[in-house]
Amino acid sequence: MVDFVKAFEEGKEAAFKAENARKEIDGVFNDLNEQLNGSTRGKIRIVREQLIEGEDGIFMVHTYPPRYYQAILAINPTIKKSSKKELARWEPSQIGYPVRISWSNVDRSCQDKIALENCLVDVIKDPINAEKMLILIQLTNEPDEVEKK
Amino acid sequence: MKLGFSWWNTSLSPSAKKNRSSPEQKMIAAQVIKTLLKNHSIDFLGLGEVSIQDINYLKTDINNSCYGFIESIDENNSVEFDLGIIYNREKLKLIKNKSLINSYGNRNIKIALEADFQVALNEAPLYIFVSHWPSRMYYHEGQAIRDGFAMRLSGEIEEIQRRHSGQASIVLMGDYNDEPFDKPLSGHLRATRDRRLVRQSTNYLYNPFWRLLGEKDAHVPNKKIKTFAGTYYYSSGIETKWNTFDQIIFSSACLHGLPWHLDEEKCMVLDMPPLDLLLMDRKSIFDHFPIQSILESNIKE
Repeated sequence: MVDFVKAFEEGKEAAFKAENARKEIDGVFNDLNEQLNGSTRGKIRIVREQLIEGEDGIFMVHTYPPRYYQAILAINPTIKKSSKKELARWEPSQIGYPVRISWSNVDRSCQDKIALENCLVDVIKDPINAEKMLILIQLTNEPDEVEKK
Repeated sequence: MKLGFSWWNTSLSPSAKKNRSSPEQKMIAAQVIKTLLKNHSIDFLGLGEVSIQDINYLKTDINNSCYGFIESIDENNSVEFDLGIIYNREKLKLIKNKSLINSYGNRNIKIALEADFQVALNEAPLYIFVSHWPSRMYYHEGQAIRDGFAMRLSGEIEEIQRRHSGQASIVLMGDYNDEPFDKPLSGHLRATRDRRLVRQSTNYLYNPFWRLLGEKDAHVPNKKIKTFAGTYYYSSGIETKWNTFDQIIFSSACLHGLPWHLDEEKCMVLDMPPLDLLLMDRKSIFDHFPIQSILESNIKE
């Protein structure tokens, strides 16, 4: 006879593992923000958000139906209505890992926590991304413009 | 119109011994590459085990603005990419390129260098994945990490096929350090020998290098023919000194003429001089033959 109970138990265990992995991933981003908060005096925060494909700064070329993707963005939380700068594309997995991060001409699939940490280090130290964050740091509380890149 | 594809693991700069080649060896490699580009009419050449220095040497030596160069080389060794591409700018317009990497802890493993082109004449998209997977000594057969190389590549191909309703022209090439029959290629990547299966389902890829596994020439009684039996010669091999690790693989569209047709008679291992002698010479660094494949279309040049 098919062992449905065993299947259910295995499913439950996989769901717990996935939940733990997702918490671990959130933890990595919390650590990242804690460190950046200290070194930028609270002027840089890294968030993960869903964006619409084709929305590119001033020029918005929407597709119909709109295609969504997730991204790793930098914001300056000290600014009332902060601009957002896209640092990388972010593709989480339903089971936690792997997560996929792509920026510049690199597309990396991170299979565990250390790989994710190392990859975020590379995203942050990318010269183009560093420049985007420097622009955010220099912002003052003036009328905002929404900018993706 | 024809498009010539070739792959060669040059052995000039393996990850463990960057820039090991002598000026003479660089000259030999440049000569082989020029022969491929000119005499074999290669429009896209994937190169393995090359350094930035090697690519710069080739740029100077080839000295022809009609060829574009792409490199995916990490000199810091955080990712062991050692790939280069030379392409014919008159036929192929580069749209973008990206490095596909799988990261496990502190290890970053190269999966492929993806180069997306538009064919100059009709603007048809062409996706090319160039790979040099790690040796089976480091990630052995059956290891989950090794299976992951092909799974990642397969995922990328599925994504492209979804965007093109299964009709995308995709070419994969490289030194996979796996034979056509090994599980990563035949199982996870679904690169089959069965053309009918590939024509019926876009989930499969066609690997013409199944046909090039054995001795090039047949054994004839009382006639000793010096021949080769693969693309890579490893003098310490126990079961065989020859392996067919270098392959060029095609998506289903390339068997349907959408718009490219694989000219399989031109899929071959190029046992060209002086490599035919150097491969079995223990003192030589060269241990791979180049390989080639041709795609043909009705588009008039």
